[in-house]
Formats: sequence, structure tokens, C-alpha cells
Amino acid sequence: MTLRRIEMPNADPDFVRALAELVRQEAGDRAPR
Amino acid sequence: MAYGSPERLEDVPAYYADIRGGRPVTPERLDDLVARYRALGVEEHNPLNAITEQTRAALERELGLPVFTGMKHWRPRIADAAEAALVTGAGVVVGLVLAPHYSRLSIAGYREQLERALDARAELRMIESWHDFEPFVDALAARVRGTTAHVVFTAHSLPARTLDDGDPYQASCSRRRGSSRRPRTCASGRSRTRASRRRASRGSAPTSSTTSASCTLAACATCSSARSASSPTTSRFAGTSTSRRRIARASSE
Repeated sequence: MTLRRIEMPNADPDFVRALAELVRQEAGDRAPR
Repeated sequence: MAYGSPERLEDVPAYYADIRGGRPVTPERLDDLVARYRALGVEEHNPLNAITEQTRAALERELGLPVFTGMKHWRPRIADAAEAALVTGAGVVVGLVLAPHYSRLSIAGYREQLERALDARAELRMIESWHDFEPFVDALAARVRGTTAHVVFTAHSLPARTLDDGDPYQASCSRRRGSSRRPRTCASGRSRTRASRRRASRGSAPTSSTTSASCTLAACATCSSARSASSPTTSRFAGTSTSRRRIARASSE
């Protein structure tokens, strides 16, 4: 059996975009996009 | 915001003392922690903090807004990040902890530090949890999609007494696993009793909606490391889910 780890995405572009969207949603409609 | 990690091996005693809140540390435990950080490549420089900076900078570029790193147990402190945000004229500060599941043992502590540091000088909008925020789940799922692999979820454990008090952490981990788009998943964890697991799985976390009325935004964010020194062989993030649920102000708050 082979074990492959899924590491923390860190600065992975998809992950960063997800974080940015999270922040924008929390900040509300006045946060720039 | 993140837990923090000592920059050099010689910082480990002070770092550990901060975590312990002044309680005495046995030499054996300290030696063990030093050995763990040494195994991660920490000598005069900590690669984990470099990763944190990469993520902070990437998020700042993506948002086009200042993003500051604040550590719970090391420098730069959460209070340092708050002051830096205020200096930019921030009227609203978004608090983001790079740990997706809410627990009063973790997220509530970050919130308390940030609230105390801001001292009502800016509006705080705290992201309490994001374990099933769909874009995040998609980013993870992309790493296993198209394979025939089984997925094993791993998560940091909590003391059973914390779960007995109704902490939503384990229940939210289970929800994420249970709503996986991939059928073959299983979970691993420690320090839980069967009774506490039943209680946690019965609990339902409250949800909240977000009002939108903000001005300048400064996001205080940082990255958890690829591997934690306390658990160097497991990753905290692995899993899939289908919907977003924000756990707001759990029962302890």
C-alpha cells in the first residue's frame, strides 16, 4: 500500500483564492474584489 | 493568525513557556520538543515561518489589501498584527485563523487575543470556522480527485472533557468526513471516549449570517505549517465536504 499525504496547501493559488473569498465574504460588500 | 513556531532552536524554551502559561516544564519534555523542531529542520531558521510568510504575501496580493501575521504563542504576536492593521487606518479587521475547525480551545483564544488588542479601535469580524467552505474543500478535493485512493482524515485531538462540555470540534470533523464526495473515507483521532463521541455527534452547532457594512479592511491572516512539531507525521487538512457552515460563537462564548 502506498501512502500519499495531502499537505497543507499553504500558498497554493487555489487555496489562497479560497481564503481571499472567505475574507471578502466576512468583510461584506465593501471589500474590493 | 496561527499558533506560532519558534524561529530558532534556542527560542524553544521561551516558546514552550508561553504555551504553558508559566507552568513549569520538565527538562525531558523540553528536550523532546527541541528534538521535534530539530527534525523539522529548525536550527537558526524556521522553514515553517517562511511558509507562513509566503501564504501571507500571497493572500495580500490576491486581496489587494494589507494582511498581517499574528501568532498566538510567538512573534509577531497577534497584538503586533492588530497594531499594524490600525496603523494602516483599518476600520474593520477580519480575523482569520489558519485552522478551519472551531474549538473553544483554539479559535476562541485567538479571538480573545485579537479583541483585547484591538480594544474596540476597529470593528472585528472574526471567521470562526471554515472547514466546509466550498472553495477550500474544492482545493483539497482537487488533490485526490481522479485517483482510486482511499482517503484517511486526520485531526488534532482534544481532551475528552472538552468534548463532554459540548465543544463542536469533533462533530464538525465528522460532518466534513460524512459529507465527502468520495465514498471511501475514514477518520483517525485520539483522546476521545466513546461516550464523548456520541455526545459530540449529537451536538448541532449554531450558524450565523454575516451583515455587510464595513469600511477599510485589514485581514490578519497567517498559515499553519505543513507539519506541526507536535505531530510531525500528520497533516491537519485532508478531506472533502459539500457545503459551508460557519460555526459562530460556540457554547463557551
